[in-house]
Amino acid sequence: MSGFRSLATRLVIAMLIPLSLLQLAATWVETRTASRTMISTAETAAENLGATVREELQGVLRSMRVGTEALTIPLSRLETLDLATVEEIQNEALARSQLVYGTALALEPMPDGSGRLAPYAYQSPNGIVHQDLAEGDYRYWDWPWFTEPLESGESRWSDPYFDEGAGNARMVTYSVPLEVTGRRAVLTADLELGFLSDIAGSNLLGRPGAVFLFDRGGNLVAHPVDRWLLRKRLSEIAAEQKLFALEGIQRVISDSEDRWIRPDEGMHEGIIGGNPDRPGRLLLIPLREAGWGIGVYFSDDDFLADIEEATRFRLLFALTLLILLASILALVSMRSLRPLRELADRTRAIAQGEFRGDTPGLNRRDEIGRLSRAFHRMQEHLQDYIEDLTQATAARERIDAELTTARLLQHALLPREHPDPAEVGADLAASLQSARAVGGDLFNYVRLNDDRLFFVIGDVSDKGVPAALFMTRANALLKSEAARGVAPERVLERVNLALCEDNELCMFVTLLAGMLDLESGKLRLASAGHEHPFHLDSKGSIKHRELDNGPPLGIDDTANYSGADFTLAKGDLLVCYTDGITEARNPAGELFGEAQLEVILGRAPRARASDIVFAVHEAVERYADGAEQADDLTLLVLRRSVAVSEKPEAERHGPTMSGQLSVPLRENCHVQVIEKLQAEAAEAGTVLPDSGDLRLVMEEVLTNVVKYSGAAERGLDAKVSWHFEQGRLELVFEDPGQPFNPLDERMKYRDEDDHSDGGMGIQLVRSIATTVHYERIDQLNRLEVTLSAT
Amino acid sequence: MSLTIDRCDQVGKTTIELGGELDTTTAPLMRPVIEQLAGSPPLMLVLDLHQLDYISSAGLRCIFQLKKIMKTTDGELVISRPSEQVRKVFEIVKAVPIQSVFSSTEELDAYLDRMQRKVGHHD
Repeated sequence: MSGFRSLATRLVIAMLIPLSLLQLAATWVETRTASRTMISTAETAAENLGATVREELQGVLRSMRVGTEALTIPLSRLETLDLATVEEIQNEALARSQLVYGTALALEPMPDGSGRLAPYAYQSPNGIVHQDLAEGDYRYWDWPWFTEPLESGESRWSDPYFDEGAGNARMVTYSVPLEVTGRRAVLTADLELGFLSDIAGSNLLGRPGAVFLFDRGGNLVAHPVDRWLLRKRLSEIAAEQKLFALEGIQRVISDSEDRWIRPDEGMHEGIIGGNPDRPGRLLLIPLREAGWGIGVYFSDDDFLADIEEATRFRLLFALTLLILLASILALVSMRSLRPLRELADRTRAIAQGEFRGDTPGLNRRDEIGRLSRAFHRMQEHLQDYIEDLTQATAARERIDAELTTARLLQHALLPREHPDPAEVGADLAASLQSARAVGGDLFNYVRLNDDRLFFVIGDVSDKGVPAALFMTRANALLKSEAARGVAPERVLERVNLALCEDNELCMFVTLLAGMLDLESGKLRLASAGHEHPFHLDSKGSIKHRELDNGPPLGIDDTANYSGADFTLAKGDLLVCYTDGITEARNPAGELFGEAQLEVILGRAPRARASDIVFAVHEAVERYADGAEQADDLTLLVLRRSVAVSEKPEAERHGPTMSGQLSVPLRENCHVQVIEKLQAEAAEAGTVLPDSGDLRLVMEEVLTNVVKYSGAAERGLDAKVSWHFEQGRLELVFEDPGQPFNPLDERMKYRDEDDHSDGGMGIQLVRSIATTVHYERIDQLNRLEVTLSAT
Repeated sequence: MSLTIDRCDQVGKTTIELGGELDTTTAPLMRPVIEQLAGSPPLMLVLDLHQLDYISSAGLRCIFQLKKIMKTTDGELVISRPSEQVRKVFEIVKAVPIQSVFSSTEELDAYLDRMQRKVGHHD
């Protein structure tokens, strides 16, 4: 939530970039418009100023001209050249016109050089002074102001000049040719140009502007730079300042049109002696009188300075505004988004199982408030849900634990699946695989004193806990009835009567009961709605023993059952099963069926009852191919032994013995244990169970512990204890490794592609051992394995 | 605690006779044999186990490896004359299909003859 990617930063950037651009654009447009307006106004002002100056100058010069020409009238009427009269006329003229500095009447000298006369009157601070220009070395007859009008016969303005003699002032002289008393003469009037200094210093709209005047030859008549006056020509300035637009200036003046020279033509302040880097504008105005020109100049910068200042201020203002805006935006968005960050933290906490804690922003009225409230509801629901789940899981675990206990109890009610043939009097093997934790199938057998074996296999209707409870009841009744030693059909009848009582739920059990005379092989069977058994003789034939079937037990208390007699020859097998076997389904839902069972039985080895059990289970499992089975699978196989050992227990198995050994956990540590156990057994004279089985159990169990408990890496020992009594060898393996239950479902071996190494070994142990049991006690893994002697 | 391995190669058939014990200690001895067979699997592999007294899960894994090798080329693995102990272990973990286990050399030979005839018919 920080750095460039944060929402707050993005918001600020997204708002400020367009705003800044907009501000810049507005400022640019505004500055440009203001500049144009300002320059345009300045140009108008310059044109007005130029026009005013022109009018003024025109007026002055015209009145000079007119006044001078008027003066010729009295002079040309003089009948005699009376000096006093001339001076009188001159005095009158000077008094009349303040602009006229002086006036002279210069007479053409005679060809012989006589008659030089040029009375000159001029104004001085002490009044009018009279002087004859013919006196001294002035030689007026050689000066252009005299010669030119005389020769051309036309009046003319002289070029402005600096008069050192007369008034030490800039002057311009108007000369008019005339005849006085029949002699050619020239009348002059001098105009002092001092008043032009005021013009040169003019300003434009309160800002510095410059006006200058130049004559026909481009000499500067009036100019802000005093030292250039009458000393510099415009063409010289143009060359010096690289103002090439001024080169055609003379033609411009003669065109008698106003003309602007602007910065795009290279005009700059150099024209008035200023900084050439400052561009400016020059207006040229022709002055028809005297052929002069007026220039009005101003520098753009002087007018734009204010605007630039305003622009700078404006930009500064905009920048301040943007910074302020950014700060406010950042602050507001960060404050608004803080609850989101806190929500993210809360989410993490919840993910770690921490449900306590306040949700931020619950009282806000905006979208974040809505999110917070939704989040809060989710948190509450989640908490409730987890609590429910915890309770449900605890309840389920309790039920599971209870079911596991129930399963153990139920199995404890059943006799061993691979009993000692010597004990039973025949080779008997059974197996019961429950489809659920507890099941409704049962099998049992009791050896009666007079060398008869009673056995029974059954299947309770329904499944699960109700079936298990009913099965328990049936089993208990069967055990007590069987102990009486009566015929199987009688047992069925009596158990039926007992089960029919208080059987509101109408549960029932199918049963096949049999009584085998171990000596003669005489077999009596009775069935209560149960599957008929198969009879396999030692020659390989198979018979399905059809029996008179009574109704299942528990329904009809008037039912009668009948027995049927057969003979089981030595080596013959009787295979009893529940419908879980024949009704096992493959993934396609097809039944295994009796016919297939018969084929399997025909192919299976018959040396031992357990061979049949293995073969059938294997076939059913392969057929099911992992499909879940609905019913329990139960088999009971009885094989009449060829020779029944009559030796008492102690004689056949040797005495009771116990011992133990601690071995460091490492590969092949089982060898040490086996050697020790076998040595002790040999010493005590005990006949241990099949040495191959014993070795297999030792190797597989200890290899598993070495591989999975982690105790081997820590250099720990495992303790193996054994206790042998009455043909049963009880082995206890204890190791201090991490909790590891080899009987766990996850360890279960499935097929050869199963890579869980230990699974196969444990599968072997489970199959060979009579019982296997795991417990975690006092930080120890404790595995108890029981083996039966063969 | 020892394992003997005798290998006999015939045309299209390799017989390996194992004797003694195949367990965690001796299973590593099988590795070179398995690797050789993996390099050039025969059409038929006969494991003659009449001298093999004991097999544990470590030994079964060797058998499974051989089975897998044979499967890759559609070859056949048959077990001949397993001892009672070994047969029991095989059955518990369903190491090989029952049809592939032969109790006697006669049975095996009869089976092999049948197979050969079948192949012959195909020709």
